[in-house]
Amino acid sequence: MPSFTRSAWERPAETLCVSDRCREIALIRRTHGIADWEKSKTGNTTTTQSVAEVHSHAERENEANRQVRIGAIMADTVGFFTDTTVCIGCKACQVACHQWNDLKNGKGRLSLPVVSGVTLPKLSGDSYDNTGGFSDLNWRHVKFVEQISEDRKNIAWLMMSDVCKHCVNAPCLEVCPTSAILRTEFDTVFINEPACNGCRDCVSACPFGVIHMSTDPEKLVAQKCTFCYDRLQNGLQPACSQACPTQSIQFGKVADLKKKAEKRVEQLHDQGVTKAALYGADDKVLGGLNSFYLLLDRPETYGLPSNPKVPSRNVWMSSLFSIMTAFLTGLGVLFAFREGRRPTLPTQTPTSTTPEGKA
Amino acid sequence: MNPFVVSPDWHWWIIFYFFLGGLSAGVYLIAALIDLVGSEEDRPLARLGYRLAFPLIGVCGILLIVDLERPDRFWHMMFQSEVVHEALEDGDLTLLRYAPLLKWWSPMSIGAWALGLFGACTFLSFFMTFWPVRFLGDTWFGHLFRLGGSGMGFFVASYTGVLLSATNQPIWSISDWIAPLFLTSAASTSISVLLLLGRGVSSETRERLEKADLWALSLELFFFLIFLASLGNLLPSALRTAEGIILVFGTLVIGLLIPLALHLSPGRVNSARYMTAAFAALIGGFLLRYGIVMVAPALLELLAPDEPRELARKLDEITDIPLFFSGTGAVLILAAIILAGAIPLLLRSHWHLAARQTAFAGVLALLMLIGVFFYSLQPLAERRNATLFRSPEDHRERGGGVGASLFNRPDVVRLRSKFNQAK
Repeated sequence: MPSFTRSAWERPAETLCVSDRCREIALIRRTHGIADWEKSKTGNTTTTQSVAEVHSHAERENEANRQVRIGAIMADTVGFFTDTTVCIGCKACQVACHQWNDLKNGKGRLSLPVVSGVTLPKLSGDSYDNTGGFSDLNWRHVKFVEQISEDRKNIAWLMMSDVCKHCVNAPCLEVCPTSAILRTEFDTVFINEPACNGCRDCVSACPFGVIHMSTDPEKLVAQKCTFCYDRLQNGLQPACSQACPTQSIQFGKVADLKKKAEKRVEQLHDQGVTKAALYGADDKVLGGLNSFYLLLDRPETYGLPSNPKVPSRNVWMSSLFSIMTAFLTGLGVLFAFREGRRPTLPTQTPTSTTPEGKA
Repeated sequence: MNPFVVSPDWHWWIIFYFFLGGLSAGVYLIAALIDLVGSEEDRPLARLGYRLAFPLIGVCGILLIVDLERPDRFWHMMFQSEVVHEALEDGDLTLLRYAPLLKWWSPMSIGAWALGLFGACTFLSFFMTFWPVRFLGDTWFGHLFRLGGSGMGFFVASYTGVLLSATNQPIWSISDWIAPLFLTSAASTSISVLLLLGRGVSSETRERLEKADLWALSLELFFFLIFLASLGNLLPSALRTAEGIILVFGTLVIGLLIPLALHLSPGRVNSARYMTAAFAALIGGFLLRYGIVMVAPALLELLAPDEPRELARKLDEITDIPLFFSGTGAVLILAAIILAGAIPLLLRSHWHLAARQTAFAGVLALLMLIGVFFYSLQPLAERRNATLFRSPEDHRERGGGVGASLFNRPDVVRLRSKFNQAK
């Protein structure tokens, strides 16, 4: 068995689990996957039998695992639909994220006041949002967008639980030179920490300001939402969506979520909330966002760019201009120094052959 | 313009890398070109260039590694770490053939390889300068090596600009002209270094070098003006930051106008004047790198405290109104018109250019002017979108090659997971 073909991505995976229930869920997910795969291969429509059959065959489970890994069959693309209209700003999602991922309290790189050796939480002072933003310790961030009337008598909040968008054309994944950022079998974007060397190119590329470098001296790598990859692998939904009490964060297959979202927008429009619109549900924003939003105002109000772009858009043009510049610069040097090859240089009067011929 | 990004904290290490990397690439490419076409009496200059390039790029390598959060993992830039680990653990070194990692669409990935190759070129050239015979002589392989070496120099001098453009940071990602600017600046600063250090070269060689310097400075000036115009209506905002002022005026005045004025002003040309010009160009080249790297985080900080609706209004102003209609735009266009007229004429008188050669310089100046007008009149919102080029990740199947692939990961991704703790 040992050879490179079975290595890394082809070797059957161990199943991570804590309970029989987890294992059961994971198995069912995979067996459904393999059933569909078999169907597409043979055209056989009676696939239900394979679920029971596979149960008794651990090898088939491993094979399914392998097929998911190498992309021969896909686990469903999963994502979040965040309906900001029902977000109450309770931050349960933030707490759940901290708890599951063992994130420490604090603001990461933002400096915090220390009194008698105890780091105090810092109040923003101008908002009820005291988290401030994403950091290496805050992979979820509930935004409180305070909207104060002109006469400053009324205040309204827009609330939104923000997270990594797991973009279809993910800018961070695109630029990562170490291949530490990868697309998982669930179509989510994941940072494989042992491979990251902390070059911070992904930080500069992310149009949403999601990625931050870890302050933990033992890690010092890029940090962001993992979409609870470990939970997905074990058939559980991410911690945040499970914790959300108002179903503002909904987890599911992206295709299903989009249908739900469209219905919800229709409903809101019927109720007269004409500003309600989806952000990232279509492919206009970075080819689509697997974590998309229903917003009640323009994206900028929520701190989201209305037209985020992939970094590679500039590579061709910049390169083209550089080649042109290289040609022009080289021309100058060549012109200046070719003169030296001429046998005599009585005066500075140039002959018309050299530069024009080159140009 | 996207103010919602986070700065990657590329600071002094990177600024010095950009500057010294540009110098190294510049001196090497000039040395290689001189070696390729220059006469025997120019050889000492080429030798000086070769001797400078290798130590400089060595320093650059250290700067880059130190800048990483995990310097011990610097080799991950070029090799798939998980594959290497597996090969070592299994003791099967043949697996290493799967390890090399190159993402051609990621400037940092391609730059890492280019630096390696360039390092090898400079290393060879450096040591061969101590050999009594000219390295590879006049053979076709020698010419090819010099041509390739200068090509690597051009690449290393400019890819850093492409790297900055291939992000989503303000200023960096808005202009496509950072790379050309870095390239011409690398040429002008490296010529300055050669002028300053090449005291032993013949006066004819020095004169040729000064001509090349004049050419590089003029090109850099043109590209700098286009670069400023290409920032659109973000330019006035950039000028509200100290870093923006350093970028614009530091580069323009110290790095370009002072050296050009010293070169082109009438009167006897003496060495003190050229030395001053060279020093000014070097400082200007550094300020250019400093300004470009630091203006992006400064702009983010400038826009951060705005209330959401106020910020949205400002963003509309920046993206929808062309630079042409602002005071800054008017000044820029006026400066561009004056310089587009003056530079070819001054070159003509100083370089004793023939009519056709002056016309060539004039065409370049005209192209610059067209560029400045084009960018000044076009609002940022109308810039081409991501749709012009398909993202390499677009519609890529999971597991379909480097980038999207699951290749560079262990069998089981060991997260700090409750599942693992339970085990």
